[in-house]
Amino acid sequence: MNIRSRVGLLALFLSTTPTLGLCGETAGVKPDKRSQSWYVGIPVELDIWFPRAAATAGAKYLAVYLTAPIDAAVAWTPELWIETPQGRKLLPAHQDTLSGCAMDSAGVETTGYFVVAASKAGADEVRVGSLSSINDAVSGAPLASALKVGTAWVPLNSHLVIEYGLATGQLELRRFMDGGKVLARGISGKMPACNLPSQRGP
Amino acid sequence: MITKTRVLLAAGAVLAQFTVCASNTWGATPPGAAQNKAVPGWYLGMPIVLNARTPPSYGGDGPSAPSPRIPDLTVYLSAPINNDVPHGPERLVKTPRGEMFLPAHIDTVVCVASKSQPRDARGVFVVQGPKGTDANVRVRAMPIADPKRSFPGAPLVQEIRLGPAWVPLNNHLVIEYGVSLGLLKLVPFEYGGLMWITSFETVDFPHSARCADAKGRG
Repeated sequence: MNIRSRVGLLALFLSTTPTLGLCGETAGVKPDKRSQSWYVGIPVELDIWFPRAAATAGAKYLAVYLTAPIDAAVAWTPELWIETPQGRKLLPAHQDTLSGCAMDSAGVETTGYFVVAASKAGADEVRVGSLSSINDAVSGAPLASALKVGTAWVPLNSHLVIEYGLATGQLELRRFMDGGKVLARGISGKMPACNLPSQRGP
Repeated sequence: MITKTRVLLAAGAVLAQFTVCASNTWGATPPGAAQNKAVPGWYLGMPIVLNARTPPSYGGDGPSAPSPRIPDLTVYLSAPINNDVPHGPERLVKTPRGEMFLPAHIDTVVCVASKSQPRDARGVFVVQGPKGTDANVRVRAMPIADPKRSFPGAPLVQEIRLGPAWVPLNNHLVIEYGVSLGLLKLVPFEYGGLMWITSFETVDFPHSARCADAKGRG
């Protein structure tokens, strides 16, 4: 895969209207994309710089969890075909959830992870989104959208819920790829303190 | 209001009897019949169980008043999102001021206190704030005409609009964000006894969720 298609592909999971072309800007200046994501169940606005070169050694990373769409009111990416080294693959419809605040003014590098039902989890434990072809899916499985915790279905728009499901063995992660740099802002103002760090590094 | 009555009312609010049945409201607790309690609650949008040693005046073996040596555990009382969620029912409670109205509510804690280090539970009502409007705050209507007859003095809030989405108030981060934006306002309620949290699952909540790690919250 050449650089141009890699850049387009890498940017897909943070991009609601995927652009397969190369953007001219350099990370650190004007963002390539504005989109939305979730942090601890709260919608946030994102500035996104598509990946161009290997991240600096020691760069801070956070996980971006790709789940089936939780709420259509928040920007989400529809199912679409993408080119990969393994041929044409299906990227499931998804929403993004940040595993950290990503409010460092310099932005934070990201790695995308698909959130899927663990093989031992029953349909009464994990709800998944639709997928037109499991065999072609780059995630290998439908993406999860909600987890049954005790008596309630809990949406997967908080890394704390996702990581709880990983700890209980109901959910599994599948590494997708690096997605570039992001900077998050509260939609309506300052976000809650980032005092609940992710249990899981990329 | 005398302390004993206040404590009893608090225990009744925060720790109303947990009844596992087809109905998703907790049964009203007959005076004097209550014991130490385990009731459904929420943490970070996930259901948990609130366990408490309630004050003696409420029939439990907990302290009758909070201790200066024990950290507080804030318990937010907000309106149930829907009737499928286990919640405390709306009901009238006898007080020295006459019958007062306790709205239907769910309980959300700010951190996970362990059984070995329980905390003093403090109930706090969540109502509409100065910047709240019909467009960004949804409340659960109270069935009484006179708000002065309700403990919080206003309807409890169910969810707030944040950017494009309506977000339910079963997560203290959401509640505290809403307060910082002026959409929500907090009205202190009562002491509910010594409380600790257990999960429905066998796996513990993330380490960072434990009260011991949540500095100064209360």
